[in-house]
Amino acid sequence: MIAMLVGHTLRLRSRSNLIWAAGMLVWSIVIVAIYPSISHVNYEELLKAYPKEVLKAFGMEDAAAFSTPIGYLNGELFSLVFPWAIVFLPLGVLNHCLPAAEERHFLDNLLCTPVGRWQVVAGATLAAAASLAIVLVLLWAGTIVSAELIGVNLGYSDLARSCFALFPLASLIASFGALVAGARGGRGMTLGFAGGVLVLMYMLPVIAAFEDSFEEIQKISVFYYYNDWLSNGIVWGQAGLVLVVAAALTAVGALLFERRDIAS
Amino acid sequence: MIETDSLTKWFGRHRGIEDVSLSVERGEVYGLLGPNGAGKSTAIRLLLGLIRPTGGTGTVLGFDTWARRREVHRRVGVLPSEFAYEDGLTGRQVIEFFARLRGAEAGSYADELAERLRADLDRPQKQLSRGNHQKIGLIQALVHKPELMMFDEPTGGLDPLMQEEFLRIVGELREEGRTILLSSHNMAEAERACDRVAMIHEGSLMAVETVDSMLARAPKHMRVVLDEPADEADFGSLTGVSDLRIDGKVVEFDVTGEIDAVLRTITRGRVVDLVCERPSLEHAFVRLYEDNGA
Repeated sequence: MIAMLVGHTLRLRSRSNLIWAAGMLVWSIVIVAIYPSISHVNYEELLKAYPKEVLKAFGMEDAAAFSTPIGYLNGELFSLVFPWAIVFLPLGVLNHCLPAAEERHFLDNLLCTPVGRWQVVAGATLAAAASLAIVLVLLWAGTIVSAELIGVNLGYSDLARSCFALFPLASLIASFGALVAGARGGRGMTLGFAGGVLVLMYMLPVIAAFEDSFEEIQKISVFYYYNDWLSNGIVWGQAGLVLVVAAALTAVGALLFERRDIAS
Repeated sequence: MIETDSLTKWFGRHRGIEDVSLSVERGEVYGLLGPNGAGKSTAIRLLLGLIRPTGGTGTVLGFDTWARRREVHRRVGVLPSEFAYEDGLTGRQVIEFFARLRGAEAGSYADELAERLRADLDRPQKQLSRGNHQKIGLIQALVHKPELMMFDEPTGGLDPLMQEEFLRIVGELREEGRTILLSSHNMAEAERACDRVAMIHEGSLMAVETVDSMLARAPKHMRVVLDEPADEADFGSLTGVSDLRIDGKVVEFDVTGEIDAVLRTITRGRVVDLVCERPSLEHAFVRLYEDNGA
């Protein structure tokens, strides 16, 4: 039943997923294409003028990393633009399958079939995760091929690490959307709440760079770990824990969805 | 098949339905009638476990409508009052998807229904008119041949020919022993389709009767043309006569119960013309509403 729902959603979202992948890929190719022309820049010298706190806040402490192709790509895209963009892909899928489906009365039909409500939430979540994975794999493959053609050596595994690091991050933020969609529905509320969590989580490490009292609090932010994964490699235990938290939030959303009225 | 006991639903401070107790027997076509906002859709949504009762209980096919709703969903076909399918899917894809979820195959029955309802199964939903969209919904609800069907305003958007065809299909399903609960504010449709009806007003049941007994109690509308001006005193005092209107030689009124005295009064003089309209469920409905101060 869940597989049927996932397959149905992926078929419906196939064009949208391709557009997402194409958009991110074009951006990525542009940055890779620019790299040869700025590869001679001495970032250590350039960033000397910036206060330490600012460099820490924006993950630019290791200026030497910018002089490598993957470091440059991470700095330009994976540290800010892509995380902020990609979370709206799984959120969009969840929104389509839950609050939007409820508001346009698709659920009135779907929930009168033998499909359980928790299965609808699980199907939406897995379809969102699958969409995310598809787009990230396309982004990785497209960027690697383009970089080869341009003559920039990104490194398969380094780029894979950057792409994969987005998966738990986006999954966690989207799971806050699943929680709200399950608890009370509403497209605006779902996107708004998850967007708010995204902003809050992003800001915590930034604030912590300037304010010592946030040193510990920032650890509740997924960006605290994500930034580290980009610089030092993914810590699989941390990534797994983030996914477990995302799954737990989604499960709570499913439980609340089982207990509430479907909007009329 | 369906039992409710004081089923009640409040949406915060807004009433949905209150103390609704009804019983739908196997093999009958049961109508929930009432104006818009009376609570018909709320009652159906409660029976389908889409919303949770505030009070009372309901069972469908012996299963609690909230706690065991999935058991209910395995056995019913549903046409909600409002529904949407994915814009890009054709009617056939929609019907096949829902049939598969129910562990069934759309098969040739879907084509047969589509032919009868003149539904185009190969056009995407976004290109369909409301009536054609409704046809897809009806086929989706029927195609797995459930033992119980719930239709909420099933003929909304259908043209008169298709309404007629739908009523024929309902008749055939009744012949097969299937049970149908339908809500409607179309009295003519309910009169033709239903064995029994429940009339809802402001969330409460006003009456539950067979259509035949309701029609038997309903006033007959009579229009008489006499060859000389009528005297109001002759008709006004007759038992069972109401809504009396006299315009010279033309007398119109409603009459309930025995009409012998009415006929004797009419035939005291020469009758030029006499029309006695068959009582309708609509007439009975309006009268019941008026009697209840609605």
